[in-house]
Amino acid sequence: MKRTPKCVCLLVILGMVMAVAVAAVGCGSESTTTTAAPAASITTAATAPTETTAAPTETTEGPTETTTAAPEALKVGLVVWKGWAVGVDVANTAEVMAKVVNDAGGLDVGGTKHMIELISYDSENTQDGAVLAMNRLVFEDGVKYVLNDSTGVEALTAIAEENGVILLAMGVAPALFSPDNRYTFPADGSYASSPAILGWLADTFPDMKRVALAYTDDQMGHMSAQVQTASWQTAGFEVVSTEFFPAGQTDLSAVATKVMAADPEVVWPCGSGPTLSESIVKAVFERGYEGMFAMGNATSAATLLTMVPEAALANYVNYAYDVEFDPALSPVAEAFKAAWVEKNGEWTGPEVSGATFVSCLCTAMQEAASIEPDAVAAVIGGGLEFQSPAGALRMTSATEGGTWTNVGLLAYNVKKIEGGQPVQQGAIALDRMSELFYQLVAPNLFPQP
Amino acid sequence: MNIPGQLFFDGLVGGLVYVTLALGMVLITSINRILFLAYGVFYTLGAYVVWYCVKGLGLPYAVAVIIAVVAAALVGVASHLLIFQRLQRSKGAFLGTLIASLGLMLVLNQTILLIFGTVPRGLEGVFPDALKVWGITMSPAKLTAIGIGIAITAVMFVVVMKTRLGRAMRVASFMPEIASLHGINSNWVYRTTLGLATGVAGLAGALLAPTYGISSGMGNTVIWTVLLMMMVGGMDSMFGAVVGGLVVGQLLSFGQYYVGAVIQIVVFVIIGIILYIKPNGLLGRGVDIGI
Repeated sequence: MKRTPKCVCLLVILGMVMAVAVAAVGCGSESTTTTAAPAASITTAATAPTETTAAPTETTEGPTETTTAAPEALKVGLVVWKGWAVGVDVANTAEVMAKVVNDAGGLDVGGTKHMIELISYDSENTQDGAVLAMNRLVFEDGVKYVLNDSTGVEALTAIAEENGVILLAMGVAPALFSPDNRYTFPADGSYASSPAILGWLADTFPDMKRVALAYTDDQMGHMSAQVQTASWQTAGFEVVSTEFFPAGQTDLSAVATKVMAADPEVVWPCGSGPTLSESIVKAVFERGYEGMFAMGNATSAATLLTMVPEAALANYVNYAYDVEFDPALSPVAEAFKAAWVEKNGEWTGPEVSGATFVSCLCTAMQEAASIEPDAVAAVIGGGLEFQSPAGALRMTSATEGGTWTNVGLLAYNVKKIEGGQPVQQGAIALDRMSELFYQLVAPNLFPQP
Repeated sequence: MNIPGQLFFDGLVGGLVYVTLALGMVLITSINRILFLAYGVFYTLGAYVVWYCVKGLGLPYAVAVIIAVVAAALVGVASHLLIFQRLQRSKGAFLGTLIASLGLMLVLNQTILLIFGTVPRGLEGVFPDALKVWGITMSPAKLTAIGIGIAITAVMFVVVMKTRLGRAMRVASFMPEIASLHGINSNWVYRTTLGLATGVAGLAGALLAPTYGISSGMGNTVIWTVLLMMMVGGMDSMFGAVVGGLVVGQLLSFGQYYVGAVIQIVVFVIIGIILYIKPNGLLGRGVDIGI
């Protein structure tokens, strides 16, 4: 075919464009932003490295040492689904917690200051998306620590264990609890929430026996139902009704009718999304229910009261993080809350697991005096105790003969609602929390040989 | 407690809500020939707008509902102007508009999440306490939803069947080329239809916000139930949407009580049987959406 001048020009232009593209790809090493799938964003909580002062390194715990060396960047990855509230909260609370640490001068590990730099990718709530994000973090960004909101966690665990990357994740996937895990830790403390409330109810209201349970009809709902039904029965309660409803269903009238027909003394709603537990409370209350509502989820008073009339909460108990109260119950919770309000204008009651994970990493690194994953993993897996905005946590593992690895147990507070505000009604110390966990949850959650 | 009565009342409320939504979706499908997957987001948008007007701006609830309807309609009109007007005339319009509606759904969902955040919202105290009649608990919010659902259904039928706009809609739907010869601006008809339908979706969201609460994903689950109703009643039949909505509403209410969450599977089986016997749905004629 005879080439025309126009054709030659087009070929030259195409060749130049390709050359520029190749040069750009070759020169771009650690890109700070990208729009390639999965949708990626880099949230850098670190400010430009500066000379350090004598300011405390972070507000959790650990010695403070001054150093004149420029802080090093400590990359922490996030694989979260940006399409659900929990994922967004994990990312946002991790960012705020990292900012608290960085604003205090950075994390001092063995005399070296580190500024936390968060790199976040969207899991898109699929295994493929999570794997793509994880691989990008590990192999392109060189990240050694990853936080996850439970989406795609099964696949992430495999990659973390194979590559010696520490993974702190939420969820109830069996892969999280494998006794072969060395680097994967379900460290958010949520496994202690239901035994905390169950144990407190059994101790405080010994005559209250009839409980109605309601769960979303998905994997998490059924797994929770299985474990919690056994836990309630172990604690001495009679489960008079267990209802499942489609996840995302907003009209829960029929569920409420069924619950009322069982005549319970306690109703325990467990929606998967942030809305559904409150919807059950509202629906059941509208049927004329006057008994107790007990919850084992992280619904803040502010969120609850947007959905449920306060009259429905006259007989309500739930667990509460340290950060929810005013003032917050610990210095780290207070610092986190102040930073959150500064960023968002108000306290909105987010799910604070992202901040918990950052606190876990910071404390473990300082105790290990190292940022190397092997050393940090050994500290976390060795029964680490740390303070977070949620409260005090302890990593605990199976007793002899058990088959599961370390999980985080949180020392919960028990709250009620008075005057529209959360009021502390009780607290469960870490030692008692461990007792309740081993008694009520561990035998049902983890397979025993 | 009168359990059958309560279940029937709750099923009626749910059914009428879905009827309201399904009517709008039927309009878009039969007139615009678009499978508008973004429809559920307008339901969410209406709920959030009414919440913002009441809580943020301190407006009366009734005024907030009107604003929510207008806002949803305007976004619908804008989406037609910017996206669907051109795509509807292109080759392979069905796939193009389907993908565009999917993209619109994702964009609007994320926009709502970014603007209003992750915290679920609610409107407490909008209506007085529930009534109890014959052992049936009837909340004023649900009674209002029933009344408005019936009114909206009647209005939609009158608009489509008895007005010049309705005649223009039907002509533009069946014979767009002939419609233009008769001086009917098809684009204007399609735009108005989309605005009307999305406004109805916004109204449903605004009315139900005090009852069911508000979250960013609420529209995504609703759209699938609406599609189910359309399949049962017929994708192009407004009367079929009414029948489908009422039937599915009662099925879900009684089914959830007596069968549990597996009712979702039962509903799909029933729909499968209906479609096997009547592929166009109970009252559908079979709309050509140009695949």
